[in-house]
Amino acid sequence: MELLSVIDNVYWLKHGVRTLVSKNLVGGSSVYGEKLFDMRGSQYREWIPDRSKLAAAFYKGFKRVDLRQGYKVLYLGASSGTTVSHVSDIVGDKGEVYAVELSEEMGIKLILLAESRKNIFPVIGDARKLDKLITDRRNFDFVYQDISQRDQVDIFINAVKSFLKPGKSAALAIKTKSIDVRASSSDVINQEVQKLGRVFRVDASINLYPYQKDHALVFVTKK
Amino acid sequence: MDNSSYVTLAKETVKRNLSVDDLIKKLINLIDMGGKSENTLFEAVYDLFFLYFPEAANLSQTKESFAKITANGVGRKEVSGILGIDGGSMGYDFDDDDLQLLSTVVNELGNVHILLDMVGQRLERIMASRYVNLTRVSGYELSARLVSLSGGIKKLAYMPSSRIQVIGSDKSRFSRRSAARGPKYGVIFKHEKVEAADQSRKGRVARIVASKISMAAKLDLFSGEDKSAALIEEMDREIAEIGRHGTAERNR
Repeated sequence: MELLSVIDNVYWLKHGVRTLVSKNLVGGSSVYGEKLFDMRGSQYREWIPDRSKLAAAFYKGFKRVDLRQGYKVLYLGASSGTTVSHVSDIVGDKGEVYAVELSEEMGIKLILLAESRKNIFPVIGDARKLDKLITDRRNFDFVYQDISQRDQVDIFINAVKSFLKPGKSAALAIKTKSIDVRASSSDVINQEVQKLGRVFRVDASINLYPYQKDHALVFVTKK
Repeated sequence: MDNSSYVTLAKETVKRNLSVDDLIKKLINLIDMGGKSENTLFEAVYDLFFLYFPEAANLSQTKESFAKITANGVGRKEVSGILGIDGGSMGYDFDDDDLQLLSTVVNELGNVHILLDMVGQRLERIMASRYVNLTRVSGYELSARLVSLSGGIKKLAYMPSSRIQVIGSDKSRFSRRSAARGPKYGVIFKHEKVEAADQSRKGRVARIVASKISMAAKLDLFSGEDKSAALIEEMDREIAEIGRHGTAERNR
């Protein structure tokens, strides 16, 4: 078994097949039933592409994401905290993840996660009204959004405009079926990427098939 | 930076935002899922009984009649006594241990039924005390379903009645987005007035029922005053008037 570094605290674990893992911030704990690997005195958590769109992007070959140790991350649509826990692994003790979730039920799991991971800051509220929830404007190093709503791209554009530092990058998970259930996925993705291209520089648009059906992850950089 | 202030604030927000609507949602889900489990369990238990006494099993294939014939016990003697048939059988002869097991399983099936009844009664009491108008107009189960699917009484009360009419018909509604006509009804289809109406009138009855549900939800949210008698009277009158005023009966 060997470890190949991808980005900070994220590695490919090669053992015949390759498995994406992140270095566990809280030793011994598995967040959503993922496998744990112990190697050279450190513990690594499997990052499952079927469960997390960001992990699926790595499996699809993307690796130039500007997400590092010590970063301050705004995470919209945190849900129960599956992907959030891995982002929390990446940014480490010195980083911060502000995780926004609308649903109370999902939020409860997120809050419980934040109790064991001190770099997660849970916020229960509507990502459309971020100004009221988070006061720290233009001070985030990375914005990640995974919200299945018709206006998901507009929410993302507003959030990145208000909260991301210029020159930094952001990622948006588009669920095409939320935008138009009848149109083909690639049509919706192209149309939304064009919309994003008018405001930001689009770095990559990755169709996440077969790990996530009808989903794409778009990386942009704020000018 | 320490995240404890964020955690505390988030906990307070969750506590503040949870309401009786969440309980209603869970209970109606419990009834639905419990009902499904009861049916699967019944099938397996029925199969087991069929092996032992196929003649009796063949005569009572529904859950209710099965419960009736096994009321005094599961042995061939007791069952055949209730049915008035011959106690002899071509089925496989169970020994005492097997019979004991069969008896326990049948008993558990009955317990599941009692449990679901209890949940239903509790839900009915909650609905009748919190949302009196809604419950009188559309029954506790349908009302609970509407509250659950719409995302709470507030959302239901602010919803146009044309939306209420098609709550729960998402699949059909989205597949017909470019069609000239959307679906005529969603879960409202289970309303007694809609069920009782002729096929050609169901759509129009559903429209009237939805408008009364909308008013009932508004009453329950804003005043809580019980004006359901007037609402029901108005609903019955409007349903009776369908097709009068010279408008032709149209088949949709």
